[in-house]
Amino acid sequence: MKFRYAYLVTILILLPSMLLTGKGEEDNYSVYCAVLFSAPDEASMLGYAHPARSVGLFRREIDGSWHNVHHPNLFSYGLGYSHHNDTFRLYIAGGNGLHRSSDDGKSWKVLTGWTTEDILSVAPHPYDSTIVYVSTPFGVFKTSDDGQTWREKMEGMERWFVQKVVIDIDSAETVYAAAEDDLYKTNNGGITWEALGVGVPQILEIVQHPQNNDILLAGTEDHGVYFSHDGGETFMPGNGFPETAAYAIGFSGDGTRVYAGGYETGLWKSTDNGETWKLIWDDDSFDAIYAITVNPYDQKHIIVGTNGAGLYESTDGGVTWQHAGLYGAHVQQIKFVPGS
Amino acid sequence: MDILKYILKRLSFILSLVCALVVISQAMNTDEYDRYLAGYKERAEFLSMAFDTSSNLTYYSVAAKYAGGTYIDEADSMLLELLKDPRGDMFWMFPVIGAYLYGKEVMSPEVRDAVRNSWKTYAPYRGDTENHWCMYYTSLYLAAEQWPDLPGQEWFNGKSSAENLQKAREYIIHWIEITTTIGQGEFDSPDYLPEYMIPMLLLADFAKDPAMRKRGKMMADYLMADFAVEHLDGQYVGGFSRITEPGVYEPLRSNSSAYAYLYFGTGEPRITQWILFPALSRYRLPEIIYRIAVDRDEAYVHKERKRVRNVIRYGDEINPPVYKYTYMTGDYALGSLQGGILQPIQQQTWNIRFTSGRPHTAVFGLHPYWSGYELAMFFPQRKKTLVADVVPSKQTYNQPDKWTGGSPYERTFQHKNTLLVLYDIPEGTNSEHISGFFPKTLDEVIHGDSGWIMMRAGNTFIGWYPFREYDWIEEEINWRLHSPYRQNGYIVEVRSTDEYQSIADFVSALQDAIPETNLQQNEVEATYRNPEGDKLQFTFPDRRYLNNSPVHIEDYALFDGPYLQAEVGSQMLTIRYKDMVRVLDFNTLKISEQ
Repeated sequence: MKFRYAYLVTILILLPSMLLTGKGEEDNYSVYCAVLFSAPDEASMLGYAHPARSVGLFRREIDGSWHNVHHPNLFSYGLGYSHHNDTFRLYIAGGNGLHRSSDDGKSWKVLTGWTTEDILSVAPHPYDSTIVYVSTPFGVFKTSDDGQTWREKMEGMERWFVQKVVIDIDSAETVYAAAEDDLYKTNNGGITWEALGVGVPQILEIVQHPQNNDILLAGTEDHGVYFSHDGGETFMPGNGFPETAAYAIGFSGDGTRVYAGGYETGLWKSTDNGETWKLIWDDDSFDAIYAITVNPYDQKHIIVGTNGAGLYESTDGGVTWQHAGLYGAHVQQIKFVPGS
Repeated sequence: MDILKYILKRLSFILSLVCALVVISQAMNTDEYDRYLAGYKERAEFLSMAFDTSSNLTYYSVAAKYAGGTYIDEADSMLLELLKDPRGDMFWMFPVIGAYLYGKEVMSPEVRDAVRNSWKTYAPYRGDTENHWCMYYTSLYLAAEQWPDLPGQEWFNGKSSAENLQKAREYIIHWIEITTTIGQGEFDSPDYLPEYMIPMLLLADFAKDPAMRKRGKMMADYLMADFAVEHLDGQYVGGFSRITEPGVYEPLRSNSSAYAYLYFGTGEPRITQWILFPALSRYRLPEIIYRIAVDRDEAYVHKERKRVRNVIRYGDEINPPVYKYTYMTGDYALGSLQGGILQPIQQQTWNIRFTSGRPHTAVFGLHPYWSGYELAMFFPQRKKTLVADVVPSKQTYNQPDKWTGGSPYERTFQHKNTLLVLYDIPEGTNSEHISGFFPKTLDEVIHGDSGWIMMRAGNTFIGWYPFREYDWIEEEINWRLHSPYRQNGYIVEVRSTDEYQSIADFVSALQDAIPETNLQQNEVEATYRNPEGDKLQFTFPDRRYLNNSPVHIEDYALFDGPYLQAEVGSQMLTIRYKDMVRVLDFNTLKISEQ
């Protein structure tokens, strides 16, 4: 519950400044995305001579263009942020490890060493900036001392590949891990994990309803989207979504709708927390959707990251779509980041 | 008494004679090694001269100029130009630190500052394979030694000099430890040998920490000994973790052949940037390794255990074992891995390589397999889109006529110079046929009535007995055996003129050597008795019997042959050649010699 209060407090703090400046709510956010690869031809459209130069963490500028906020060849899988006591931190989960910036992306430090290899996702603790979880091809790692040391947290896990870690919206000791064989949950900060028994292997994505932590949605490699409405006790396959890869799932800020996409699926929408799905958009210019985010202050503003075709966005709830930049990019994650 | 005196006199004469022979022999040996060193010096100078005098804008030309002490101004201006746009990640790191280390005493302060600044402003990617990490961390280690006591703001990764030094050192020691206990992951690669040798040589030449210098030198010995024992006439032989085209069918085109030329004096000179740092290095190949590399008077069997590179998904072990078997003669070598997916994309499970018929001195077969599943075993991206991610950089990966790659549906069983290969390919697999490569440089090819395809390459005779029908397709440099059957296999026999006077004799010997086969799905097996009378029984995937006794490949040591011995977990390698012995003990960082 504390995290929800923090969310509310953030809104209350931001609201007066928004009213005073006359700016819209969205102006108090930046949009970031993590780019893993970029196709050479498309990269040249970005003005980069070398494809590797168009990967990394990008921030959207006021004019709608995207600016690489890190060294320009960081292969990036994910991003995260935390905001405590006036300290804002950005994290990049990348090929060189977990990167952290405390000065809005001006300087960065790699926090992990050689043992963790690629960092596939990052989950900073909502209230304690010294605690961060990361998922890697060799399990979940956790730091409790601000990145100085990392401990492997795998007790109870059968296999070692973990695509994503997510901290529960109400209890920071509860963490979910999307792993090769199942979805795992810990209630004690990663000391021990239990398999939730989704029923199919290769869990690639896990998201929680923004207000109801009993509602969980899991994306799988070969069996579409699974949902649980009882905190992970039971899982059922989402009705209508194709039985293929579901790489990305994104809730609207109010939780009234959720979007999902994957390999050759197009974008799907559910208004009953993942139980039934309807196709709302497809496009031949890409074969997979890797990332979905919804503006937390504008439920109709959706941004989708694709495999090799950059970003698309809709401002009318998915009825019409426009290309939103980063041609050629393989976008792994997109976030609206408050206060940056 | 007279008799006793006579005997003593005789004994003393014989003893003197033996001593004299030993002294002469040692003197001759010393002379031979001196001659080797003189030849090495000539080859090294020849190779580095190509870079010393080159105006090509590369870090290698810069390093050669600094090392030679000539054209310093030119080297300075070239390096400044190069550092305006650093690129190449870990492939940038080692040449730039190498050039710096060779030139730091003579380069201008402006250039020195530019090099330092590049380690602050350019963030190289660490990469995703063992050779990447070896290059990355060794280069970072050497750089951190050069610029100690700097805070994190002065480094591309935000870590201080001390942090970078410590982390890089940890990785290097880890890599050495895992290599000398359960084997190298990217093992025996004709194309990727330099990616390991160069970091180790830079470490041996320039590390300030004596222990790290020693590690560099010992690992250089280790890698070169590993190569020497599977070297034939400039070629790396045996099964490979990673090989690319054209080296797979034109062996001297692989980078390791440049190392064979420099260190063993074999093959042909090959100017490549990958040989520059070895040519500049103070490292000298120990005599014992040189002798192992070039003495092919006696045929031998050499077995090895390596490891699969990190398996991140779909495996029960992170580093499953790889079992290698190589039969070496002066004319040819036949070598194999046990089969299965042991490395992604570029594995070669088995081959014959021979000394005659350059440039295409290889015969081999494979199941040209590809899948997102294979790639996802080793790379963290999504299974369904991984093939498309990989193909831009590995263009033949998803081609049905490709010449490299392992398959989960291929297994081998080798006994000396007899090889039995089985395939059990499920329907719907990419792809559903097997291929064989036969160069047009073969002197003779006979498709006999017995079913054997008989070949001669100089003194080497090769027999290939396909289990199923096949097409024999002429291509530019080779014939391709294409057999479109999913349950399949073949026998390969290799002999030389030491054993058969003519190909007619070889044909005659194999005339009645016909295997019994069962080629049903999930029941692929073969029984075969070779001309020497050895009986091989092989059931796919891993049931092997030799002369009715089970073969336990899982018992293989890290190295087991006449020249190299190492036990799993030992961190020790014993190198033997005649009366010479050299032991590399990584537990104590000591080299002992006899």
